[in-house]
Amino acid sequence: MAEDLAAFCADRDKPGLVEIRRVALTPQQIATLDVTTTPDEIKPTDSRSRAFIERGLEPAAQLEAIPPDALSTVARQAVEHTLDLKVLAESRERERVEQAEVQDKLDEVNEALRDVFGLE
Amino acid sequence: MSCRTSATAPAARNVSPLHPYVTTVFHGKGGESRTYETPVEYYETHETLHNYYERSLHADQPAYVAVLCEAAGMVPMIGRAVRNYRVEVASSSGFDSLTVKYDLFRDALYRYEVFGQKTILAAPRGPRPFGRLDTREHGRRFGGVLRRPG
Repeated sequence: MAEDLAAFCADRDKPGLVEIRRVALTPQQIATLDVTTTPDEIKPTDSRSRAFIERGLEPAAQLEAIPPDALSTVARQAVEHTLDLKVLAESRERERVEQAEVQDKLDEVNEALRDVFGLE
Repeated sequence: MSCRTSATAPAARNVSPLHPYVTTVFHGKGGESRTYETPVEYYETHETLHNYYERSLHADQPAYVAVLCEAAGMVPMIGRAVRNYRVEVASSSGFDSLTVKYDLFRDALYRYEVFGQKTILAAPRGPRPFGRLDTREHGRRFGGVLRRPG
């Protein structure tokens, strides 16, 4: 996937346009979470397996081997590390202001509609 | 068919007198399930405008962030974990398809050209060791010559 997307990006002279970050099943997580590895998936005679090894992605393991709570935490932390949290906080504050603006306008419209329908 | 009535039955005519109280399967057509007693009742039911506004939390970010999880069955769980950030979580199990990968790239290109955002895909499994792109297939289907980076 990463290579394919990089090839598309290079084809349009947009290197780095799409970045894929491996956020789970890193060698460190496999060690610290005691994840069962599946070494049989890697065959040194296979060129694709060699590429996997060369990219430092060993050992092979299944995502399902990470406990669900741990995987949820990993995913959440990965998103938190990827997003600009300062910008995110500003967006949330801006959302609150804009929600209030929308509510003011809706209140006006609703009041007009209530008048049209003869409601108090 | 057996029916029963209740003292708490809704007064509004837009509720069929049969519908909520039928205790066995009843298939019918027509009737007055979508009618109202007065225009005011209609207004009170449908026309009040509610505030569902939510700002895109991606609009101000330097990069568009999504999570790609190969195992489709894990998408709901990871989706719940990152729900607070309104980050899209999708399964990449069908991404061996060249067309799907190209669509993903095209979406990223659109975001870059229109919003100036790069795209970051957080992949719980990480780049797959298998499934390299067939460059000849790319040329046949999309035209041009595909160069591999590096």
